[in-house]
Amino acid sequence: MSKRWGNDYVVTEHRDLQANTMAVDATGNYVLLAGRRYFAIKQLDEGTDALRKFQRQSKYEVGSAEWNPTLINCHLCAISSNTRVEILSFAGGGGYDLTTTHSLRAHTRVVSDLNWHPKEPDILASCSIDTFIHIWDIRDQRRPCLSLSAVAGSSQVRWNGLSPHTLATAHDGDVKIWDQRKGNSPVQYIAAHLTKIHGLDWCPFQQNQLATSSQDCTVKIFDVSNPRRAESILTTNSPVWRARYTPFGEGLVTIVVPQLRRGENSLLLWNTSNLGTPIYTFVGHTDVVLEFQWRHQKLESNDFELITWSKDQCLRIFKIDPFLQKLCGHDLDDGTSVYTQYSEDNNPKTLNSVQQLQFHDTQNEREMNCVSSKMDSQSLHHDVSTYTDFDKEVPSPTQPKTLQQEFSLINMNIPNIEVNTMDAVERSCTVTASNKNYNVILKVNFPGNYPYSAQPTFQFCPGTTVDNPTMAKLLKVLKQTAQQRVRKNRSCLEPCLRQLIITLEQMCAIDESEGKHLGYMQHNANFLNSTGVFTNYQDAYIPFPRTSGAKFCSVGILVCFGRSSYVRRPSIKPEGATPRALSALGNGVNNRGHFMHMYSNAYAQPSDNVSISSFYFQERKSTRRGVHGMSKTHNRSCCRNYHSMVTIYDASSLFFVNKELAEKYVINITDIPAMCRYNANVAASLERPDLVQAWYLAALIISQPLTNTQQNSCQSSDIDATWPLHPFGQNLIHSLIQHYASQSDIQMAGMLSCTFSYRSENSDSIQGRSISKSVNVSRLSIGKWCLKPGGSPYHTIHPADTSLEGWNFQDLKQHRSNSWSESLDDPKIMQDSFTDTGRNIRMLDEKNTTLYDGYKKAYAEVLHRWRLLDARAQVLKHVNATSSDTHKGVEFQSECYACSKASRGPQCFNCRRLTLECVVCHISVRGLSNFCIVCGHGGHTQHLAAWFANETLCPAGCGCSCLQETATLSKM
Amino acid sequence: MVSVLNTVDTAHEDMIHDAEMDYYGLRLATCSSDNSVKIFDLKNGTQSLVADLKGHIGPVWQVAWAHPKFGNLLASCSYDRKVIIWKELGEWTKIYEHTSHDSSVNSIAWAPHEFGLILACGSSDGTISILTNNGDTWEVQKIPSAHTIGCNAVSWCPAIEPNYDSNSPNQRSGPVKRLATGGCDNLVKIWKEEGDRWIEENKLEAHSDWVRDVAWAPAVGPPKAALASCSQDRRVVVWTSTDYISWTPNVLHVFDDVVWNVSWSLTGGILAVSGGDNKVSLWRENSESQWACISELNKGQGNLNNADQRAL
Repeated sequence: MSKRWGNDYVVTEHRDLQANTMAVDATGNYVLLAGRRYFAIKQLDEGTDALRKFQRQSKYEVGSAEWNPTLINCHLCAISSNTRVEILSFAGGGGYDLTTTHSLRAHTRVVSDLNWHPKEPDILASCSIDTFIHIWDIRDQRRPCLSLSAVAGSSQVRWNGLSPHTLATAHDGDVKIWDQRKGNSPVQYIAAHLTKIHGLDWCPFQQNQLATSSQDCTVKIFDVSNPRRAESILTTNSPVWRARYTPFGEGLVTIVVPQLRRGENSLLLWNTSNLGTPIYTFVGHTDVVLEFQWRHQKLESNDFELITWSKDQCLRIFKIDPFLQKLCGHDLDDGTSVYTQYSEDNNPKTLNSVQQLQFHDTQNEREMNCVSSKMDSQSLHHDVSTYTDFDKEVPSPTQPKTLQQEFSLINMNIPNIEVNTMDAVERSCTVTASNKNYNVILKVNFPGNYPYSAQPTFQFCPGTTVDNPTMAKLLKVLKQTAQQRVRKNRSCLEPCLRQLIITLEQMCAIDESEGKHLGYMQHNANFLNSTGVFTNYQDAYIPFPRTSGAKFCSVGILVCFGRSSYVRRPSIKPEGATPRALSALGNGVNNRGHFMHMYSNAYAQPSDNVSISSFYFQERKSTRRGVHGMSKTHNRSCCRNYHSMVTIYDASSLFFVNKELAEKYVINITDIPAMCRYNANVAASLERPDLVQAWYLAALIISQPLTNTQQNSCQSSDIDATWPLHPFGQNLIHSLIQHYASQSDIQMAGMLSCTFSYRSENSDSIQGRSISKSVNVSRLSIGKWCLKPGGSPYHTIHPADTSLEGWNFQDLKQHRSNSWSESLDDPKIMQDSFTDTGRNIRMLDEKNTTLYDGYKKAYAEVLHRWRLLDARAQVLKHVNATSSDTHKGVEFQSECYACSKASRGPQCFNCRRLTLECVVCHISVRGLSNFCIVCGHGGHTQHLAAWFANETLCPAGCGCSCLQETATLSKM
Repeated sequence: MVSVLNTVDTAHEDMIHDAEMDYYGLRLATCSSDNSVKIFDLKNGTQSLVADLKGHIGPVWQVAWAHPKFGNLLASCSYDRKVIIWKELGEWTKIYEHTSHDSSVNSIAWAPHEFGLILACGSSDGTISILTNNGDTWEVQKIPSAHTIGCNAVSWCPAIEPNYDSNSPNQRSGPVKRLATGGCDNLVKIWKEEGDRWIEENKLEAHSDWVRDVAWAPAVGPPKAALASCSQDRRVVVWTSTDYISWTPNVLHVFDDVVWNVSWSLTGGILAVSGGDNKVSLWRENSESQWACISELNKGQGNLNNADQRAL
């Protein structure tokens, strides 16, 4: 046993104990060291020999140990050993004997953690990988008083020190928050980390703040009332075993996972408001730290000590200097002592130990003193008294109480920020922030009740060289930062300033990345260092890059890329699948490089860095440099192009659609049976007997009524039943098309849809022969269709038209054979009283129009991709007008020159005359026409062209200069 | 059955992460960890490099061609948190840079051309942004916190005409914009545009790990919609629905390694699956809705590596 009294810490070494855990009791007097063979209790304040050893009869190690935190039961210590929790009492035997008083058994697997209730002296929680969390009242040791069932095994359990019913448990990467009054299920679930959580700790000052430390090298701080995203994240280089809040200020102490033994034996102290770098490193241990705890003996003093136990079997006590407490945002209670403390901080010896920190230079110091001397002592006193009242409700005891204090405590060593003035009386300060591109002069005004939910206002002063959008952005960032802090009644000046300079640097980096190709790689390093956002913790959320893949493109093309067959993954464990997150690259290969680092250099020397390639090529690393050299000289090497090949496959034979068929198929609606037979021959010539049958069937279906009418024109209509009228007719066609559609033969489905959509028109032409007179209501003159099919035997309604809107050129074509009639259709007359209306039923059920249109469009797209534009146009002609195609924009109406009624077609609905009359020849216009939009005069294009060849005014003599007016209108 | 049309040596200096051919199957775009995007002209088995696009400062994860009616447009997304839209105007130039994401942009997809020029981007910051082109400007719309932790894949629902009946012609409205996304919360989510907002229409749970890709099947028969998703959990799930409300999952297969990509053929029916094991397999659904692998009939044929390639 040896002992060294250092300057700031005490060391005692206990080689023989082989203790793997340590616990400091509530009074701070005793330390329990527990191992498999011994318990040892050491009285800290006594000298060397204050160690009492107690033999332990167990084959199991002590998992965790904890003294009861309440003074009543401070003699009790709970330890876990295999599946049991044992309570040891240090009171028996005159206070010098350690006896096991309780043995709590309920867990079926190893107890992973235990925790005494912070307030209730008899309550203890234990957790285990058997998925249960048991809460014990030690007065009844037979069974737990409450058991919480979590689905997953639990590794940590922690009571909330401020909210007595709440406890948190860790389950692999997740955290569950329980309320012991609602024991059946957790009240909150936090998906905190992607890898195992090693440690949990509640903030001693803020009820909802929880810190989790994890294998993924991060510590996250959550607000458990709003845990969707971590409030802040601390990133280190190694997996974190424990992260515990300091009992003062906003500090956090972390240690690495002991099993790793990667030579990182230090404890790091962080300030939670600035998690970029640790503010202090506790050095001394020669092996990994197993456990650390705080000791705060005298409540009135500011003496805090950190007690640590390491694998090197040394117990160390680090005294926490006031300056360290201040670095953690802890200010000492009496306001007057601030300045004395402050000057102590300039002690060069202390500064050496905290290299990152340099306090105010002397000039600033003098300024500060000036300010303070100017200050009216009364007002200062006033300030203090007001805020001390407030202070009782304030959760954090660590913040500056006056603006004056905040100014004095602020760490001025923020790069690129210069404080111009600080005036606690005026409650304002002015700072200049500058970097390469920007110069910002910011005035901050603090309202009277700052920082108690009142945030300061920010104002840019003349001399600022940023544009307005940037200012707005900066302002937003500042306000957010301030808001976050003052919401918790904390001072915000320093965080705001730090945020300001970070944002500025980000912008600077973004500026550079824009437009400048040259040197973008070099600036990359800047970019990465400056942005807090681009740190590697995010890599854990970014999916692992795809290194192989296949995509169907165009019609039948399959594009594949992948690693070559000799690219193996040496780093993959037999059971290990490909990692899911990008962070695997950084951790797996070496802990230094993270993904972006290698990318910043990937161009220059790929072989020196971690990269996706190196993930697969690890064992080839040494040869890779040569590979690149060789590929430049076009030397054939086995490794060449190991990652740059893309193979394109023609997979079109897997599909039923066929380009050759598409090229040869015809759509000819004038003679559909012939078209079907032609297409059947096409299919036959390309050896597709399956399609030949289908086409012949189609021809048969379509031609049957034709032969019937020709051969038996006097037959009754019952016998003369056409396929459309047949009960199975529509279904047959529908299922034929559906068959091909379900096979993804979009070509056949589309072609058949086109074929059968014209059945109706075909039947019209048949009827045209047998029925002498038919009435046709021109949809052009009505403008929109509103009539139902039906009517007298003399009426022919074109079912194909009913779904059409607006202009319809098929109508014009059909008008040829039909005579005009004055009578209008009566929509009330139903079709079922007439036998021959059956002819007008469509071959395709109208309710499936969208479906068939879908097939036609899909086939049209295939044709488009094949660049068979004519065939595509043919198919698209058969698509019924759909809503997405309707014309949107200006439409012109014409006014009948005879009766002055507006109409949309060339024929007046009212008087049945053609609506347009040529202003030159006074004859109705049937062909091309042109009209002036302003005066409305116009006529035959030819006549107008001739007129305006020499004239500029309207031929009607209205005085309108039509050419000019139309030109200016169309410019709009 | 399947023959090699072309083997392109892209000369990328690092791993390729995506490759896609344009609408007509004439041009190939590739992207890589070497931060570049390359475009090749492929003719009759020959290749020529058309453009080597540099603008990203991180590995480029994905490329996507827009419909040719908007011109020759290519979008790319990268680890550097940017989405860049490139256009061929004489030569290939950057026409827009989208920088509003806070983390790696993992996936991009152009909307069906019927809706106009619209791009959806999914990022590791958990949001999805939707860029709509209005002539000269791009309007950015965001779905905040779409997936906790991050969004890994986006895919558009094909534009489908609502199935109207002729009795109520006035109720006809345009097709609905829908988007499927997959993320680190192991979920596939379906989003629907209502008015000017995107609302979560559905949340599909079947995967037990990060969803890596989603792909909406091309719709030829409007009554049935299908969606494929693949995941780190080595599963590929095909989801089907007739009403976009209730979705039925069907596990296509559990693969040997994580699955990264699912891709439907244009005419539907065949699904290409690829993943961490460097293998590609093709799957076809038979009439009994059973999925069968059609490319790995013989051992090793699905492995798309040099000598094996022709065997697929």
